[in-house]
Amino acid sequence: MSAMNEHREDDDLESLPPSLQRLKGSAPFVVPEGFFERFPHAVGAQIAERSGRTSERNWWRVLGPAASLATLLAVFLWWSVNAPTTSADQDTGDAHWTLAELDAYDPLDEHILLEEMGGLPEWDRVDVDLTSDELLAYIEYSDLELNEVITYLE
Amino acid sequence: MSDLSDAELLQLFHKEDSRHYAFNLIVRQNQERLYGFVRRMVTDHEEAQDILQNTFVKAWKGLPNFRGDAQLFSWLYRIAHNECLDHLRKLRRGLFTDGDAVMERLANTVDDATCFSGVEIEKRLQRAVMRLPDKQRAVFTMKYFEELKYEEMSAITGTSVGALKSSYHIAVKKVEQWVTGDQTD
Repeated sequence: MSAMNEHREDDDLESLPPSLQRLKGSAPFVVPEGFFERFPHAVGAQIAERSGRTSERNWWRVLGPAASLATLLAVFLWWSVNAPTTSADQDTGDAHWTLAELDAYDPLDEHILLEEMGGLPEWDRVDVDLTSDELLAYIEYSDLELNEVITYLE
Repeated sequence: MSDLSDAELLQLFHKEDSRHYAFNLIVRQNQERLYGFVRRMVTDHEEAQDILQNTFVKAWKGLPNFRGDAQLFSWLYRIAHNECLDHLRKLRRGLFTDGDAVMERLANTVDDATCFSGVEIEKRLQRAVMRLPDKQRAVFTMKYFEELKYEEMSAITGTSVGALKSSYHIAVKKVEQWVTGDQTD
């Protein structure tokens, strides 16, 4: 079988047209002198250079993500130490304000509120039916002087 | 040139202390034949040198996984063949380059006396070979110049023997026409 294959392979070469048959085996390429002596060294140098670059790249493959992670961690730590106070702190009264800030801050400005309500109510027109007990309880709760109230009512 | 068999070379390669020595022997043993194939494929010496260097660098990386099922030479030939096709593809697809102009430049290398020492008919042959499509040129070169068997060529190119045979016969017809001047295109 292999002899038959070889015969067929020979057939392919034998059946070449005369022009190509004649040119077979010609090797007209000029190769620089000593090329094949130097080439194995050039390959060796190339391998050494590329493996050096690869090991450098491998270092960066490890160092790159580690450095990014460390930076992220450092930023997070810095932020958690120096972060501005949150509204939750203000609600619980933990905010550390300066006196000037405290003066400026008036959560319930009466004047503003009154303006929004359209001014003070006209108390004369307010008609409230209170029992005497309710009136006394109101006076007591509001820390009003009873004499002043009697004088006002008169 | 070493007389060591593939198995002996591989055995040496797998030992840490003799790895470089073994690889050096492998390069020396195969470089001329592989260079011949690559040079025929690209014509230009510098291009051939680059391709051959890449071939051996890839072989160095791949050799630890080489199982030895195929002949070492066929395996190297396969890498060189793929490197050639990749190289030519990249040349054609390069930015600001015209693929045909690139191939013409390579073919014109035969007019440079420092690169090509052949007579006129040999120049015509090489120019004709360069006009073949890359894969067909590889088939023609392997069969006509290197006299490889179709089974070996099939292992190298990953193409069936039948397809290789028909590709070679078509290539022979084209090259003959171009060489004898029966057809100009």
